[in-house]
Amino acid sequence: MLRMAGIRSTRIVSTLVLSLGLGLLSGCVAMGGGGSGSQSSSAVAVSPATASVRAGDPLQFSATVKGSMDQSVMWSVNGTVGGDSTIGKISTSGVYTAPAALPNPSSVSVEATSVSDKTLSGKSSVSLENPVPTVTAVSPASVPVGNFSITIAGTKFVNGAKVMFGGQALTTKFVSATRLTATGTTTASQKGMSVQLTVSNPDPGAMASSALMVKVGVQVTVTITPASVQLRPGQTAQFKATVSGTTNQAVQWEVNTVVGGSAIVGTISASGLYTAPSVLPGPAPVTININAPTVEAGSYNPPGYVILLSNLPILSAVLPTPVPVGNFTVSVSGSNFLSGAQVVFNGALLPTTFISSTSLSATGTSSAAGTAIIQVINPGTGSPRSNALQVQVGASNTGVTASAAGRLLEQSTFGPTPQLVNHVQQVGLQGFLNEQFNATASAYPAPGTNDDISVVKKRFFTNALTGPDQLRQRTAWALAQIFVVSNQKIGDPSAFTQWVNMLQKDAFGSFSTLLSDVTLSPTMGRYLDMVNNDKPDPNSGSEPNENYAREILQLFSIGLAQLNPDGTPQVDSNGIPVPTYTQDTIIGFAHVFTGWTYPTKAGATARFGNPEYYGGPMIPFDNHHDTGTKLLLNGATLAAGGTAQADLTAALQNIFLHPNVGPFISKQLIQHLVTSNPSLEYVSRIASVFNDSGSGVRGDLKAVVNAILMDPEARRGDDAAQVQASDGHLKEPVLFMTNLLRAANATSDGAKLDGYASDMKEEPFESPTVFNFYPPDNGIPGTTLLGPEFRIFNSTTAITRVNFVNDLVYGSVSSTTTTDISAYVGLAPNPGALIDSLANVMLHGQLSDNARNTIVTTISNITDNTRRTKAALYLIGSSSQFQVEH
Amino acid sequence: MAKWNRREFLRTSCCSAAAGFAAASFSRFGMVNALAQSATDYKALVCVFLFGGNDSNNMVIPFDSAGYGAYKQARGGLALAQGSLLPINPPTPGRPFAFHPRLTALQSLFNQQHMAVAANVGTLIQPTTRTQFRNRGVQVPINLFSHSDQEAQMQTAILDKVAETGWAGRTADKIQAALGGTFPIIISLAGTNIFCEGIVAQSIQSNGNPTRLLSGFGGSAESTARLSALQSLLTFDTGLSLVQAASTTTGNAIQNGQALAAALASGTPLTTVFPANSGFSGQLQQVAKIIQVRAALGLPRQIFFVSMGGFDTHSDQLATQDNLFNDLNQSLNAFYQATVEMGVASNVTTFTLSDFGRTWLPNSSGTDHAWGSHHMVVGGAVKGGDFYGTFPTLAANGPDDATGEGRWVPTTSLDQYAATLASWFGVSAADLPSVFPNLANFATPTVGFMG
Repeated sequence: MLRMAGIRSTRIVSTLVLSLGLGLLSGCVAMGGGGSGSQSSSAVAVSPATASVRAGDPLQFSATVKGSMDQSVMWSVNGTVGGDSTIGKISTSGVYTAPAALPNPSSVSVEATSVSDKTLSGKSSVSLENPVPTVTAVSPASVPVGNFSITIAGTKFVNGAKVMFGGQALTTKFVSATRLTATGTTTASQKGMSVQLTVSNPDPGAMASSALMVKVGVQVTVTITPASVQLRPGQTAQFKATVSGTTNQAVQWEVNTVVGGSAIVGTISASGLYTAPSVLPGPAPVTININAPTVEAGSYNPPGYVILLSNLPILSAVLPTPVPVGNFTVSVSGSNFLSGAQVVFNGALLPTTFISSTSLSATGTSSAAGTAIIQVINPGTGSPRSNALQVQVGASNTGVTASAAGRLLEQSTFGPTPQLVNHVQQVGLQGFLNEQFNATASAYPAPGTNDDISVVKKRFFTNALTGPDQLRQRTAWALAQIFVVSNQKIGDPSAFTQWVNMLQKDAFGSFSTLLSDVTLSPTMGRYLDMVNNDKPDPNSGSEPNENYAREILQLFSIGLAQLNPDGTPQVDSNGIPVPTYTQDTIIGFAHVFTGWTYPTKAGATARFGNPEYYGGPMIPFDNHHDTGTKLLLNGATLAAGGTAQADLTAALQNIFLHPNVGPFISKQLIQHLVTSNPSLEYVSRIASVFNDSGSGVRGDLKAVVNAILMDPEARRGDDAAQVQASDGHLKEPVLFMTNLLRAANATSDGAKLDGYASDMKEEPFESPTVFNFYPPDNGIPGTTLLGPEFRIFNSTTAITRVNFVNDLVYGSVSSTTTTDISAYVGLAPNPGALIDSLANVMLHGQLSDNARNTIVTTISNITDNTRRTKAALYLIGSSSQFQVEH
Repeated sequence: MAKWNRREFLRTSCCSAAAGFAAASFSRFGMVNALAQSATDYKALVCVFLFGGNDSNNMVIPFDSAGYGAYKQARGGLALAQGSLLPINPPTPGRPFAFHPRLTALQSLFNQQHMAVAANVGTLIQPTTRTQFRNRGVQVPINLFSHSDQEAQMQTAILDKVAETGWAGRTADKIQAALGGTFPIIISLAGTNIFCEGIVAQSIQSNGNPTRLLSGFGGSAESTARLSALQSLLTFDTGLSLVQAASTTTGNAIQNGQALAAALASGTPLTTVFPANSGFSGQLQQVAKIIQVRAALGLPRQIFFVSMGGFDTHSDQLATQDNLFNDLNQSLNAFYQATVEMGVASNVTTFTLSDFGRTWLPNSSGTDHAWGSHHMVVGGAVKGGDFYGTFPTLAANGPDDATGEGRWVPTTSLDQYAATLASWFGVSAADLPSVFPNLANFATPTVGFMG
């Protein structure tokens, strides 16, 4: 019923407007209450003679001056020319506009007076009516059973308007022309129903608005989860809003009532992801409200809360290592330290100096040797506490000195760090090696389609800097310098990721497996031309390729001369070394290695001459394999007719069982890990482990590596008094670089490090030939000693190495390589303590007195602690003591 | 301390880096300068080492119809088209030969008699025949066909054991004994090589840039003090031989680099254009620059070592060698033209060495390690336009084939080839046998290609 009335009302208005637009002067056809068609007897006829108009609406009047040529008239309302805002205004063309609010009385007289004869006039009586209201929204959209309050938003509300709820008038309060409030009562029988709500203005002209539906007994509630969360700067939390009581689930997220939040209080996305501000808006803890009102008004919306806390301190290093017994000063580095932070030493708060957000210094006293737990506590609510570091105090109960720990780390990793020195002291030397044998390999992921070799090089450095499997990587890197392949010949980076993953897999396995994997690797196949090596062709005269045959013997297994178990060559009566093979042997093996091609790509048809591909081992084609007899080592001969696989297996076994393999491979591994000049006894001991691990296994590389590192000759330098003049080896460039980077607590993505290594003549995976960057038998000019790495230590590279130290310490190696020397800086007020701490990490604590005095004197003249620390790092890093691992 | 041998004793007593370095002056340099000889007496040897073993069978090719036909038959897919070859007519052995198509400038130098070919040179302890080799009738060098060993032997002329000195180093020792001075006579631009190691004579072994200087010292009091500390640390004896060796190398690098940089600052740009994008060319250009400032260095004799790699052509030989020879041809020619520009063409002799030659019979796309190989000698003092030594019989299982795949038993020994160069350089005939230990086993100590 009411709805019908509303439609009618609308039609009336639009008809009126249409009439005006057409300029019809004959009055309105359907004016409610008007005296349509009645005529005035006045001298001026005003049409319509009577009319009713709603507040604010217009109405066109016209006038006819009887018996006069001059029809022009002047319009007035209640005698006022043009009218006014109280009674309504009329234009010179007769358009009357009703006032916004009804006057009292509510009817007016519109009069037209002839201009040429002011005695002639006529009137129309106009009744003014209240407007028809509209309702745009109600809040809440749902009312409870029983007493309720409701707010109505809309237009054209008039004082006295009534809210009608299911046909019942509510107690209504007029707030403004756009807002009403009302109270009422619902009954239990209405629960769940939708009730029509309208608004009617009072008479004159009372008419109901169109209706909105209000639910009864359903509360729209927004539940925010989680209800409360604690966040630290920059952290995020995902909030979820669940709306009940209505079908529209949309909410609007607010932080402290600001939609979307702000940088100060934190931001929240349209999906409710809150991001805490990077800086706290006040002293921690700060409580932040998260609101999510429904887009429909009237929801019940308890807020969620975010408690903003300050950053937790993070503890990364403690120096010196070990902490001395008695009075000590420790320098603590990390991040998120706040002014007022305190160092906790075995539960006791130490007097602490705040140096920076990454550096603290504290003093204390320790009563006895052992281990201690160090933490940092920031000031503020809840005393935010860092992770704990276990540090060594004085001598370790494992008996492992810091010097011994540092030396083992120089030999078995890509460089000691203060934490690792501590750790080795605590778990012992063998304990550390056992951990390392079990550490998961740092894999080289397959390159992407557009990647080149640079991703492999970067991975090499990042693995070396951060990988937990330091010994596996170090061993694999040594193997990669015995079994050499190079990007100088192979462009596909996947050849190298496969290759290094294979070396890492085999590093602690059987040498026999390694030799087989190397031989069948398409990477090696490509590098030394075993791939697609064909049997002899009598038509073209083509012979099998000798490249792999020669180098597997000369470089990968037995070498040129028959060896004694101690690695020395056997000589004939003239003192000439006895060769292990002749050219005929090379030709024999060249024939063995025929008939192999690249693995077959998925979807391709296998054929001899498969295209270059590194996704698996090479595959045999017996019809391209030479089937004649073949001379092997020690006079053995392969019978004719063998398959490619059978001949290969037998030939590799022939090599593996040659007595040279033990001393040949053992000595090179010793040279890579420990010393360029092992004694004959040292080589002999390791070779015997190679020959028999102790449990009857030949070629157990894990046993070999363990024996190399735990040998008395490797360990004698742990005691400085036992160091021999010939001990140690020059750190090859990549070891020199990674040792320095790790000592300087560097973070790097590996970019540009390959370039530095290249300038030092050891760019990973870019060996100039299969003979590696340097040969194992390189003599040091002017001495009787071997120094393999000295082959690439010359007038240019010696300077390049020192300049790398300069670039890392004072300049910039790359934008993505940064150091953190703040722990050292914390010790800088005491130059001696600073030097000792650096020497502990970089020189396993063995720095000669004259060198120490020179450096201490030099840096003591530098007042700025950071520059003082850098000078110390530069001088130790560029020193020959650091260049040589000893 | 290490057991320092006599050689080290000599070095430390007269010119130890550590001892000399503490003084941190260039007084030694001035001492050499006082001995400067007249420019006309200047002589330089430039060794071009072709690492990997150059297949000279495709560098110098028979051009007469019978010779070329046999070549084409034997080499199969590796045979170069006869029409592409660059003909030459050496009076010895008196029949037409040709160079690889890329060696255009070298063909011109040959025809202008500024270049000679030494045929089938290799490591020999004594004159050796195929039969003697196969019957083990004579002593032959150890570890034939091995890269590392044959590279070392070609550089040391010591063929029966691991050597401690190179033949350039020993040649320089003789010269230094005669002329005095201590500034390094030998400069390698191609890394550390035993070729340069002598007993007395010093060498600068570098990677292309022998004048790299320490960075990060701006002259502030702080940095000056730090540099002083760095230098002091290099002089301390830690009792560890390898630490000592590293200090020696680093100290020498700093001092020699500064001295050489100071001398090079007096040079003027050469107008000769060297090929761009060639590391080998860059090394030769650096040699030319150093020769240009020979007066500032005050050295009447110098030996240089430069190299190219990549000659180990087991596979893909045709394309690989084409690129290598193109570079070799252009770079050697530019260097020769630079010596002409500097007026020292007749004072500088450039020669090749390589690990070994390669098999006459190919594998599918390359060749394998062999023995004797042809070499080139370039310079105004060279009696060019001819072949020296005995050209081998190019036939598998022929009279010069050691093994059956065409591995030529050398017909001229390395000692004879090198002694010819050393003799021109100034080593007396009496001193030659102590530089080249097997020279006395050969009837003629030199092979005549030097004037």
